[in-house]
Amino acid sequence: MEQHVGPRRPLLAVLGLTKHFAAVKANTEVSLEVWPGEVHALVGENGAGKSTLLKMIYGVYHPDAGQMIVEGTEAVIDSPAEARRLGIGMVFQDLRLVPALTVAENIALAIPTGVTLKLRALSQQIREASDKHGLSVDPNAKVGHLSIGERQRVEILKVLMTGAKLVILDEPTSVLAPQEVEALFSVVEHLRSQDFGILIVTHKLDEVRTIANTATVLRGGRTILENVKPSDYTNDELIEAMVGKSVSDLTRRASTVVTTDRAMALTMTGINAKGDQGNLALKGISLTIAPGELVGIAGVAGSGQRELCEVALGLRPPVTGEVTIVGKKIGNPRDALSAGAASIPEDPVADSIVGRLTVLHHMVLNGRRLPAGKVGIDWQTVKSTTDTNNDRLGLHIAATSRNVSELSGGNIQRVILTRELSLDAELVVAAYPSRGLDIANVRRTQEILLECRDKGAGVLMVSEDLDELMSIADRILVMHDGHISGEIINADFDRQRIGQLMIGGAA
Amino acid sequence: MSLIVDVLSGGVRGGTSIMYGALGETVSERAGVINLGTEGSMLMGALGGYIVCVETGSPWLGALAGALAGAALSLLHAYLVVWRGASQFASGLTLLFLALGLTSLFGATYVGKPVDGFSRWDVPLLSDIPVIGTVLFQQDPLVYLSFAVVPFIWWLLFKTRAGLLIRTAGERSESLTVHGYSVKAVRAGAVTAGGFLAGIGGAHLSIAYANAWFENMVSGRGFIAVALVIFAVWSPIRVMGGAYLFGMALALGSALQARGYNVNQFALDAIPFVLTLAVLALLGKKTVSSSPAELKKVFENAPPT
Ligand SMILES: Nc1ncnc2c1ncn2[C@@H]1O[C@H](COP(=O)(O)OP(=O)(O)OP(=O)(O)O)[C@@H](O)[C@H]1O
Ligand SMILES: [Mg+2]
Repeated sequence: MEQHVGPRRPLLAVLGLTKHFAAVKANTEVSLEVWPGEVHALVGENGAGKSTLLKMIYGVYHPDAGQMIVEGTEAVIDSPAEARRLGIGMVFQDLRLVPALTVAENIALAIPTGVTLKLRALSQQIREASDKHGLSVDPNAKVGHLSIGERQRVEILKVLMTGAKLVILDEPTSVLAPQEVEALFSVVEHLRSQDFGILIVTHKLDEVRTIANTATVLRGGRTILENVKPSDYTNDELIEAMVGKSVSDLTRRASTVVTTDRAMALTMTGINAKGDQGNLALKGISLTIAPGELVGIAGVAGSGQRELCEVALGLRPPVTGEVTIVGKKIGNPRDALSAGAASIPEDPVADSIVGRLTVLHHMVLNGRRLPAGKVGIDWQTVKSTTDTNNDRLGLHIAATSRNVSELSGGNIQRVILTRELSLDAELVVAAYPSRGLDIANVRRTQEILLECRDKGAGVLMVSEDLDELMSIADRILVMHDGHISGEIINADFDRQRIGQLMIGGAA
Repeated sequence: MSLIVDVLSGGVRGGTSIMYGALGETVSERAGVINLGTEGSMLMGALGGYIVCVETGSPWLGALAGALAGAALSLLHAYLVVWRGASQFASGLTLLFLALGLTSLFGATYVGKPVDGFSRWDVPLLSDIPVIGTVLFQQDPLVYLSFAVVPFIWWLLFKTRAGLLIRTAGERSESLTVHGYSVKAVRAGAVTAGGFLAGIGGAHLSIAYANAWFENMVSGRGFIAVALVIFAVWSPIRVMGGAYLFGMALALGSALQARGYNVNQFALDAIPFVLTLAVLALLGKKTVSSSPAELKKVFENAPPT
């Protein structure tokens, strides 16, 4: 490759990039460099401007001011096509593949092959490239049938096949299971050894330490630390750079709620339920959650967690079995709402977001009784309740008048969290509640879940992060292939054992 | 036996106009645009084809003119929904009534005029095969053309770049944008091409099937075509089968009447629509789940209040 011959120079240097959206200063004079053979971590709290910076580098947004220098030459990147021509490829936070098309067809979108698609030749190329980079994918598989981790591999492969030397990954790990993160990192490691440059966003410091040689910290749209070596800083120093203050560790505490003579927050008895493909996704599940108990659900993604949450909330009718919430039988979503269930869905952007509506609209978008005005909804009351709840929960949601479609990934999650967790719920079903959140907000969300529990709600929390579950759950149920393969109470938490149960091994 | 052959052969003949309309709608919906104006494009095609055929004496020029007339109306639909963001339903229906008015107005003087349209041409050898030969190979040239158009549309949709872009526009349009394509251009192209095909369907009706022009002669075939696309699950091959089925429903009545059975004309005319309703009721939600994703949005995206 060229870099070996000539003098070494950065694949990309950005200097003083600025981008303001009306009143929102998303980026102000941001600078960083990415070198060949370097993994550069871009970190910062939700709304710090990371995605905005990446989109400017990829030509989606155009900077108000500043320079971009690609391999020593100043470049005006006015479109993604131009970015690709310059050897820059990007995998978006929300993947942009077309689920109804095959892997090969999706890749064909990015690669010119003439009038016909020549799918057979392309499939061959895909296989070769996937062997070369250790990204196993089946060119003929439909993308809609792939797991998130596999889809990410397809995106990365696509980017590599279009000739990218700089690969940009926006929060690739926040949607992945731990094993998938490992697989992704081995790909990244391989790319680094091949002298590719990688610019990666993550919220997890241990990931920064595992994978990155260099880090840049953004806060409020400005570079706080620029091209530094992560190993030169302690975790506390990095966190302080990210959020401007230190974040205390969560103190684990046991539940003190007295549960005798109260109905169970949730019971599920003998539940069999079908998945979307008509397969049996839940096989004979029985569980109970007491009021004032936080139960964690661990398991490899796709073991039935999603179906479990949906059945609990009346969203998916089980084939057999019965669900009750505080003693009331649940047959449909209305029943669950009126029994006092709150829900944080697995993928808020897909499941509960209507892009053109504002944050305030979303506050009432959950099918519960609305404060009525003379005609229609009393927005004044909605606004003041929202403000009160926002102050109380402290997740600092964006201004209520903003359109949700322009919020950053983590800020969307916080809108949903604030709406659902401010209810005095009897049961909270939280699927991956801290997905996409920055460190301070992850901590705050965990605190809130504990507060819900302490006020007497039963909490069902699905997560793939064992550390998170072990730090707040009173009890962990492990799911494997639609069954509950084991149950462990707080005092006996043991990573090894949970891991074993997750892959179906005997306890 | 001869009744069956008559119904089958009449089904192919009568189903062909519906098939062209439905193929056009398939292309359009695959790109994420519903065109209820298909009926209108067929009307424009029927009259356009008729006029040119009468004036030039060439049915092929007539078919081309019909196609262009159908495309012109769809281009208007494309302009309204793709560039102006109008409601797909409102635009399609309005254009249908526009076409109805225009064709009644300009077609008035052509009602009853003799035309020398496509005539039956038996394919040598093949037409001698019993049953199959009669059904498939004793037909008019536009029927034979459709035998090539169906696989061509399939190839276009699934094997070419243009088809990939059309399907992406219908499944996840932002993926097109990311790759530097214009969603609007792709959709407009697909809708217009759809109108072109529907126009041929209309011309088939006036200068091959009926050899006549009269007001509102498409009489609902365009709507059957739209319904057909849904239960053919947006597949050109199934569109072909479905269209013949409807053609047979239409042919059954005339075959019975020709044999002296006394069947109520209105009941006969209702058969294809009853069939449509029955199939829609049977399939219900099933097909909707496999519809192009952007098409679902057309139904689900209620405007914000
Ligand atoms: N198209 C847009 N219009 C208006 N404001 C925008 C737009 N895109 C981003 N913003 C705002 O710019 C700020 C930075 O957003 P950005 O998406 O870059 O954050 P981020 O660092 O990626 O956050 P997260 O960790 O939550 O993904 C946010 O306040 C966001 O609401
Ligand atoms: Mg982001």
